[in-house]
Amino acid sequence: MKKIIVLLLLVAMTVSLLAGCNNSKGNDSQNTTKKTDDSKDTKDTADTKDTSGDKAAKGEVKPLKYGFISWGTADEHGRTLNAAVEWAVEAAGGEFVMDGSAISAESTIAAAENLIQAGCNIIAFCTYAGEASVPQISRLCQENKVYWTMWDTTISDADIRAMIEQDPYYVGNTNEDQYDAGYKTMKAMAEAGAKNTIVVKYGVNIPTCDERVEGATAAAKELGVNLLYEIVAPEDYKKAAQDALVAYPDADSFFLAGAGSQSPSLAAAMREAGKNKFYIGAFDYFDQMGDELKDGALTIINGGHMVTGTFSALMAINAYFDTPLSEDKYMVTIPYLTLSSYEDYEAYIQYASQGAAYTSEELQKYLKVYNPDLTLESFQEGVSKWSIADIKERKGVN
Amino acid sequence: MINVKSKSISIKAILLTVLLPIVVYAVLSCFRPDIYLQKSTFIMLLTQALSNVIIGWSMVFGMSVGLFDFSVGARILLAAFFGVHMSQRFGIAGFVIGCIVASIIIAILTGLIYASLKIPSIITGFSALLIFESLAVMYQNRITVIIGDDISIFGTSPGIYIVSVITFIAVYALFNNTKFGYQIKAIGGNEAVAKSMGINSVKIKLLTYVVGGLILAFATMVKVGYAGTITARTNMSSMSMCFTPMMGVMIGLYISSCNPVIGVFIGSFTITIVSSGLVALGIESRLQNVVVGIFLILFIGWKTNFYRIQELIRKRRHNNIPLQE
Repeated sequence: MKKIIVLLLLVAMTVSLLAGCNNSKGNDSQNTTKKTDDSKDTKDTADTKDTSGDKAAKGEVKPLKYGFISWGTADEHGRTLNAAVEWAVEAAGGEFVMDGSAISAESTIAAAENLIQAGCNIIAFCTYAGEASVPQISRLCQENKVYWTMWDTTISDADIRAMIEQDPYYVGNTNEDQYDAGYKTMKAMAEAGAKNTIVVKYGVNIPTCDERVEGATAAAKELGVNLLYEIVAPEDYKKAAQDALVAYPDADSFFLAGAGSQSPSLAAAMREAGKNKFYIGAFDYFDQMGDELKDGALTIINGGHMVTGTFSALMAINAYFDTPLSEDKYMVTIPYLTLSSYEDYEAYIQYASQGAAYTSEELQKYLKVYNPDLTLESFQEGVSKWSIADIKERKGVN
Repeated sequence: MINVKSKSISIKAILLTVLLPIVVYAVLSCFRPDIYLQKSTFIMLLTQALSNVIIGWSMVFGMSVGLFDFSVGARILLAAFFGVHMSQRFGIAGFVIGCIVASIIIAILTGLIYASLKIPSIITGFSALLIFESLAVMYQNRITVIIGDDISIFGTSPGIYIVSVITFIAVYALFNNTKFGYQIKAIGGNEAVAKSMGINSVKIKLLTYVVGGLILAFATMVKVGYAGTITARTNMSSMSMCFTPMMGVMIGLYISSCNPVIGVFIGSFTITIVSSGLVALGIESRLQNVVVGIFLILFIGWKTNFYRIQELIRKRRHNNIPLQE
């Protein structure tokens, strides 16, 4: 019996080894050919870029293979994010290639290597797994003359920032204005009636979280809302909320700076404290948010930032088509998709989650080859419109 | 005469047992009488403590025989997702059966890894934690996590009290009135002696995983019902879910004046009062864990060195007497 198992294992190992050889050989030759062509293409592009000026206006639609790196498409954000990038690539007539294996800095680098090997002309990634991947990916892209961009990212390390500033293939990045989002959320809560708020932070020393709270604090000061207490990274959100409500019985609202899925726990704590009218402002979409918005437990929620991938793609595609929006590296600020009613939620589900929020024609307006009047300012202006109202208007819904 | 003496001993034991939370509660009541002298606050604290108490009860069997399992949090998450998934198909019955079935299967798997491979329980726990935590993340990504209102009955009054009382009766009976319970105590006391008496310690330890898994299913129901939501965790962060119950069990096992099963309740309830009190006293939330940690060190340190401290006090008194004379 043992001999048979050993034999079977040997056969299986030999077959898989040979299959691997065959694949890698095939891929190599294929990739080499593609890469040579691409190298030529991108080299030309880089040369063009050096003497941009009037050549920028003479850009052309070129064969495009766009490589997108993420953690996968299993969850709502990953799924909509990948789909939203595909909208942009389709609008540019390109081919979308995704690598959903990036769960660490190392696997992000590996994904970049794979996509470059697969012949991508542009790659895009995010530093959610750490900024350590950036220098290596920058080096890879320069070696292979591949344009690159980062979505939903702001580099905090000054040395890395200085390094990528010198990279001719780095285009820029997109991110949200966390301070502004925090400010607007608290403002909406105050306008709804919040007077005494407990702030709930999901982590310690996380710039995204801290900036949201800073914005909320500024709005609270301005609008006369009392910030009673700050809960930081609780193990049990409901218990933490209950404890805070016992200590501060006047509290009528929670500002949840992230981890929106904990909103039901906060709402339950409010109800059990005998408060029927309360206000919760939160970040990060979650499955139950429709119900929470419907029964009034949730006042406002921010999320829907999948277009951060769409617009970073359009930025890089403009550069690849020899029509860069700027000769310098630049950042485009993406607003959150803010939901403050069940109708907003329904519109999000229908037009952004399950459908395409932008048509190809609408996205081509963000490509200079189709819209020669496009400038960086008008690009940012268009991006800033991203909202439920904007989606409804474009879809012809009242 | 003997009856009177044993009665006074048991009254003393009861008083010593409940002394810890009473002292802590009294101290807080002095600082914030407006909060802590209200009946609603006491009930809220009691309700808050119950999910940790039940988790603690699920761990008391294992910890009594020296098993430290840090995968409890990840096992709760995975069982909860399965239960929630089942509830979307079969309602509340699906949730209950889903939680029980998943929790027991996961516990058996963990126990089998420990028993068959003879890996130390801490390492088994860490490995199981990594596996179940990742599976929970993948599971969450494949289902829509919507907790129905019907499930919240397990986390609110009177459901949470009913589940807790049933669990207490079951755990108390198992721990104190069964052969299994006696064997656990024998192994916990001295494993070598227990083995020489013919107790199969590996089998009993495996059984502690299974029984603990069943109790953990109740804890899962209460936890999901109480929070009204469930979110997967990554990077071993689910481990923190077992820290507070574990501290409760430690306090419970160290309160020599009472039964460990009751001690777990007393321990968890005391920790809940302490952590709640820190918020009421306006202590920065970052410092809360520091204070809870110090409390635990002081308490266990005092219990462990009780006789040494007594001896020290006695010696000092003894030395002082001639001086006074």
